[in-house]
Amino acid sequence: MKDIIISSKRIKKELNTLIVCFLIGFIANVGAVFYYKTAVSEIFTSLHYVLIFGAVTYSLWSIIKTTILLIIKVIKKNKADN
Amino acid sequence: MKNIDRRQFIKEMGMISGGVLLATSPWFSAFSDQKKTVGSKARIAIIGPGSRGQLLLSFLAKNPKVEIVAIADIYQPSIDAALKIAPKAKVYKNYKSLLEDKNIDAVVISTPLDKHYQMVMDAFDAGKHVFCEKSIAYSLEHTYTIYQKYLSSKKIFFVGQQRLFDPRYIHAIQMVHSGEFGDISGFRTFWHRNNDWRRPVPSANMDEYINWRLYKAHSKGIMTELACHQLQIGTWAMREIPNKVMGHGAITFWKEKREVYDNVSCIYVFDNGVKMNYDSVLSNKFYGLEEQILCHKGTIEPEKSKYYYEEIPPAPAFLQMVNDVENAMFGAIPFAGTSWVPETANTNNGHYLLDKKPESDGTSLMLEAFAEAVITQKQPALIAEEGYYATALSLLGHQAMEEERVLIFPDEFKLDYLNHKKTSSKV
Ligand SMILES: NC(=O)c1ccc[n+]([C@@H]2O[C@H](COP(=O)([O-])OP(=O)(O)OC[C@H]3O[C@@H](n4cnc5c(N)ncnc54)[C@H](O)[C@@H]3O)[C@@H](O)[C@H]2O)c1
Repeated sequence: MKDIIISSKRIKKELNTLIVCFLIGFIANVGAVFYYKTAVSEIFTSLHYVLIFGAVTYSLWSIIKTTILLIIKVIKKNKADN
Repeated sequence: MKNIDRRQFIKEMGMISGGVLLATSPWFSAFSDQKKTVGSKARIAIIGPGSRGQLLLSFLAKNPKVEIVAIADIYQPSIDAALKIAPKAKVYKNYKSLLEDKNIDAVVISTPLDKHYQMVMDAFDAGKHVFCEKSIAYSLEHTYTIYQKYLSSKKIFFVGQQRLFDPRYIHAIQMVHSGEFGDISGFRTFWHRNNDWRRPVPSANMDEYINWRLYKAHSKGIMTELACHQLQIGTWAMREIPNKVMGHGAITFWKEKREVYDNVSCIYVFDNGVKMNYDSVLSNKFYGLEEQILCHKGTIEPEKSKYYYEEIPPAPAFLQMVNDVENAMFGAIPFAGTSWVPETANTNNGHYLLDKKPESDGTSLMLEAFAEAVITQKQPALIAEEGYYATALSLLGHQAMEEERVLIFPDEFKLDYLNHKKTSSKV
């Protein structure tokens, strides 16, 4: 079996993506608190929703990214075979 | 929930909260001398220790301030059962002989409804203090006569309305009176069961004796046996007597050997138009029993020990946003399915009235109060009046159903109480 090597650059990139996902959730929560005029404390008390949102968004993004990469790989392989 | 005992309850609700308990439930004044009465005993006898009487007896037997002196019953199985609880009690087959016993200070009367009147009157005549199980009497005339007799006798008079001593109800009424829930908009009181209310009998000819509740000659059925407890919540919360009642009663399901209604619905109307609905169906138990106090800012269900505010806090903004986005995207598509936003975020689960579970429904506390009152010979405020109106309203409701007409509370049966207070005529 071939070892999978994940470069530190890759890890850093993935971590950045994850942080961006959480940030989107956090900003959305702050926006929602003002839009729906609820208690400002929800910025912190709703953090668990933000974390779930971040994780779901990151997973979705990963699935989309992997799918696109796979398609590109298949197309490239087909071209090379021809 | 942990259990809450009596001492703790009185301490927590009354003495600590600076007399709030007495403002809502003035009859708790019965306990004001409880330290002084330590070592004294109320010598009590019970007439009719049947099903309810035995429960009362079991509470009395546990009270160190009570000596159960005697019992009177005409049914041997009741006597045998009562003697198991109070083995030293003297047995009388005739209650009149019991009343002649000079060693008895007070009697608890727990016989069928139609027997109450004569027994209570005789007991007052014999100089005894009286605890009479609800309802007080079979007719409004008799109930009124008993009340007048109590006034002239200067003896203690309690009626078995245990909700007056139930911590859940006391707390609920305190909250209503404090204005926490705003104005009272109405009451929905009900008691639903799914059984014929019939007890097994040793022989067919004993049916009327054992199942007296089902016979018109002895009882007014649902109204005097069940509604009596619940209607009282309305007057207690409103601090007012409803002056108008209408209703309809019928036998709809349990038709065999039943003379009293198994399906009733009454509307009691207070002077300001607020209504108290009462209904009872004996062939469906889904909703059980409750006295819902509906107020402008909230609802109380004392039996469940819960209250609910009208305005519930909105779901967190983040969930509202997800919900709105989801609705905007999939709202019109039938297969969109349920949201992942938890439904509970928007349902009103309410709050508990007490953080501890009361030990009993108020019956034991009520009997302790009676014993205290017998020892101190001080009638606790308003307890007789509350009992009187509970009976009067249930009888009036029954009459309205029987006559199929709207009844107005008759002036001749009004007491000098709440909105029935007799205002002195201007000179
Ligand atoms: N407060 C409550 O929650 C509550 C609950 C149940 C019953 N009750 C009331 O208690 C009373 C009794 O109800 P119950 O269910 O115990 O009835 P029950 O039939 O079980 O008991 C009545 C007892 O009275 C006895 N009795 C009848 N005639 C008598 C007489 N002439 N002399 C002496 N004894 C006599 C009977 O033999 C029986 O032992 C009723 O007024 C009822 O409304 C109150």
